[in-house]
Amino acid sequence: MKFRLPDSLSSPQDLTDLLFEIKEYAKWKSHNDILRRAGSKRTSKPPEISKTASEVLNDWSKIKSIDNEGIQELVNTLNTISIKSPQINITLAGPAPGDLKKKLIGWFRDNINPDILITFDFNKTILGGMILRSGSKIFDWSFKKYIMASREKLIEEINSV
Amino acid sequence: MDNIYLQIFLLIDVFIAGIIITIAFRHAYVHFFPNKNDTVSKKPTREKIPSAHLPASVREHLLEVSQAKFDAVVEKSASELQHDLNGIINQLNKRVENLGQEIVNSEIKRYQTDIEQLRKQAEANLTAAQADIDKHQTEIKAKYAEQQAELEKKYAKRQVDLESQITLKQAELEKQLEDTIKTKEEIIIKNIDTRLGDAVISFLNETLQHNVDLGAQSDYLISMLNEHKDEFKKGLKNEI
Repeated sequence: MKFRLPDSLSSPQDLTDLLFEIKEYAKWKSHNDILRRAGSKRTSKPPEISKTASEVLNDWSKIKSIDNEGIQELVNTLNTISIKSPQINITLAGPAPGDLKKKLIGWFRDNINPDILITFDFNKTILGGMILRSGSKIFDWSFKKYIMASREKLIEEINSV
Repeated sequence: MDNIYLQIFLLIDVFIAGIIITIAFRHAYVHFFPNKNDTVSKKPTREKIPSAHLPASVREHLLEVSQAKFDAVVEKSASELQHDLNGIINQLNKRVENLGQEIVNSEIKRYQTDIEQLRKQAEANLTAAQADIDKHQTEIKAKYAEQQAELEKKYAKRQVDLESQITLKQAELEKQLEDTIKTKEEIIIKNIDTRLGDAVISFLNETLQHNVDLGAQSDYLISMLNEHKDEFKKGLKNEI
């Protein structure tokens, strides 16, 4: 089974936050294991981690054990993803709701790349559709673009009225 | 030239007349005003004449008679001389008058001849000049007529050319005008269409951007992604 980022994690910033949380968790776990091995009764509370982080840890536990080495391997994997995975930016006509974000991220990870990282923007003037940008490449599938491209047709339609 | 000779001749005449008048005047003066010395000088001469054979009274008488005769002869001679001088003067006057008259007449005649000649010359010159003028006028008229004909010909040709050019230019301008009007019409129509399109787009933009429902668009977005999946993959691959 291959590790896959959860659809709730989309952007490089999310991944950075996730890495921070995992590292904090790894630190806590290492410290806690030392105390346990020393027979200390004093244990510390685990750090509060986000739902995404717990989901990642849960997924990772299905592949590898959640010990120090396993967590370190998870950190390495996440670091590799943050460096090597493709990143795209999606501009929508409004702030993307969570379910739409998940739907879009799922589609991209299913169809394009399972480690793809996506940032979302919004611009009201595009009216609808989306604009995808990957590096210097832009795919404008917005309504505005369609309307502007269909200007002649629109004028013909207006003239025929 | 003739005037100079005439003047010289008159001067010579006046000079000779002066000499004669001077001589006559001297004789007259001597005659009317005899010198006493001359009488005294004559007396001894008379006294020197040998009179040994004649008595004194006779001699005195003879002397008186001789004196009287001599005086008479002198008077007579003076009178004759005066008469002659008067005649000479009259003749000279007449001669000078005649000469002057002749000279004047000849000069007048010569002047008349010259004037007549000059008049004839002038008439001939005038006639020749008139003929020349007439000839020149005729030539000028002929040239003028020729030039006028040539100019008229050129003018007519030029007019025809101009009319042709004007017609061509007019047609060209009309075509240009029509093209310009057509182009402008097209531009205006296009501008109107563009502005109308812009207005509609602007209207749609203003209207729709307040009513964006991304939830409703999710299926559309997914279908659009599926539609452009290969295109996006290709683009992404090139970008990576």
